Amino acid sequence: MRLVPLILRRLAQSVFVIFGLSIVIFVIARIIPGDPARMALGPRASVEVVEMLSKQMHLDRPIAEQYALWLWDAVHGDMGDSLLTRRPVLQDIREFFPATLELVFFTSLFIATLGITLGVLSAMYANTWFDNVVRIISYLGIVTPAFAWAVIFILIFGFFWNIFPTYGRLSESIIPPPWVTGMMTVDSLLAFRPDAFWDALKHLILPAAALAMGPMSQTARITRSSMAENLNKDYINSMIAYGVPKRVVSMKYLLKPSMIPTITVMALDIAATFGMAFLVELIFGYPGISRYGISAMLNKDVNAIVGVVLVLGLVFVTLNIVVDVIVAQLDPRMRLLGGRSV
Amino acid sequence: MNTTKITPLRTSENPWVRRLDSLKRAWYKYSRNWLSKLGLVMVLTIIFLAIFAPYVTPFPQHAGKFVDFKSAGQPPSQTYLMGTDIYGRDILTRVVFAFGNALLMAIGVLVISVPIGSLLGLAAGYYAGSWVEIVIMRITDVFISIPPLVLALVVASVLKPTLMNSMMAVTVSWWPWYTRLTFSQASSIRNEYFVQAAELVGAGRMHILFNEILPNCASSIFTKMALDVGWVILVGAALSFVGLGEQPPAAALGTMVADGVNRMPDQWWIAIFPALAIMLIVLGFNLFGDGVRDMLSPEEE
Repeated sequence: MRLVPLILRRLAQSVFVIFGLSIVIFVIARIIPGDPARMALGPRASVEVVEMLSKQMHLDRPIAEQYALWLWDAVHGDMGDSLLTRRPVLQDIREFFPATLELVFFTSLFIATLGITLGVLSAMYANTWFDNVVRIISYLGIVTPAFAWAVIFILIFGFFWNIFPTYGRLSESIIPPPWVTGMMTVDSLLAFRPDAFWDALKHLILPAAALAMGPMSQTARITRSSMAENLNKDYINSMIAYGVPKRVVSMKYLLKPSMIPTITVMALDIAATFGMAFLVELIFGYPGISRYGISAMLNKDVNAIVGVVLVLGLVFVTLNIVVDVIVAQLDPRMRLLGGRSV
Repeated sequence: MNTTKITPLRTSENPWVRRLDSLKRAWYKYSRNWLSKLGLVMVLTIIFLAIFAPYVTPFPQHAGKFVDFKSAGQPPSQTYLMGTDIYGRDILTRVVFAFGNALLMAIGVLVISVPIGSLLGLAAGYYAGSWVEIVIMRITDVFISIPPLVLALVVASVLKPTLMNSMMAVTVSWWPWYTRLTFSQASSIRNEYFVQAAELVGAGRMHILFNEILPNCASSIFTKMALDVGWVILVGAALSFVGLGEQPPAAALGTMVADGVNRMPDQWWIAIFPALAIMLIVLGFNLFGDGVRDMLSPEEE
């Protein structure tokens, strides 16, 4: 096993990427036309107060110095105060991020289970009516943006059938469970509250499904095509020639190597889900970090924008490392090369 | 196996005949899949509608500032095929006008980001292993480290919300993907014998980069471009959905969906038809892009 050097190398790269990202986002956030301090305090604040806040945020210094000061604080766990909520950005993120994480977790669950199942089934029944139906559905799934699915799902399942709630995380009639992890389903289980758990779950289904439609379809297609590609390989033919049952061949020898492109694409898609969540959380009134991020962007809340983007960057590089490790586990060639691409 | 007879290559002296032949061959490869043909029809229809929007739409004056509260919020009918919005404007008209803006945006983004991205990738690929590659590719990594939509949203939120600026915002998050694509192609092509041969006979760097390596990356770049038109339009719609794209009263698909979300479910047509329009555009360009891939990819087996 040469996993440790792989992980170390990728960690070093990630530190660099996050550092670079912080510079890029910091610069973008600081070239905002208009005075962020003025934006935060409103038009009626006196000039002195605005100047004081500017000074407090070091807005009067050159940008390189601003960045150095910000970085020093950030390394020490202080990413500044949100100009909108007037609270430390990290505290806001800690409050809103678990909700998004929960949403993306359920989305990934949809993507992985349904996407891979549909892909495997359509590869096994290639060129039958089932395969064609999956192909058409996945085409529609890929080309329809998540926010359009959100609108369609709200219309169908929220209003015409009214089987799922379409707004927020929890019904108003239900007392929220005490805050432990910030993830409603986990918290309600920890508090032994099946009613809250069930209600939170119902609130998650539609947004998660809307977010999952595109990546799920993508996953199904990639799985199908990579299985079809591997089906023609010699080692599969020899397995069939040895008389190994078809089911064993597909499950044991075909699925594992075919999962490599699937997992790579799936991880990218799940990371992109954090982007699409920006719109879907808005539509469903779901109090996650993306909705927080959008309001920060619309209100030019510079500290919060930098904070949210950096958190998403962290999630993304972590996901990438996880994928590399999984792929290394699946592909002995990767392991031997210590993670250098095959 | 497909047993369609392939007409043998006629080698003619006349360059026009040869050009026509290669065109015919390209069309043959493109048109083997009926979905690609469907995609082409959709793309051409969308382009046609976008160009001639003022002549083909029933109420061209509804494209911009226009208020007619008497006919506001009407369901689809024979006069208003897709109904009217809260200001009484014909949704069909506005959807068709929005096509133009969406296409303009896609063209703008690709025209800027493809040359920048692929030239950087080309340089990084040719100088693989040197500091050129390290600088270019590490910067690319940084820009790829957050979802393109998030980066585009951040940049758009900094700029004034206009069509031009949302183009800029998407461009910032789009070029790195071309860098990565071209880099992976160029870094493997540069080790091919024909490149080494060119180096051996003393060909200049520019000749090798642009006449030897770049043409061999072209097919994957063009394929990605054809597919990307749809994705750029989608990201543009997402920007205008949150209000960071082109501002009302201009017709933008994302804004139209956002306006309709608040009117659900009673006035469902306000959101659903623009959403379907986005879907159709992206579907059209996806099918078209798949066809382009079939056309440009080397013959299998």
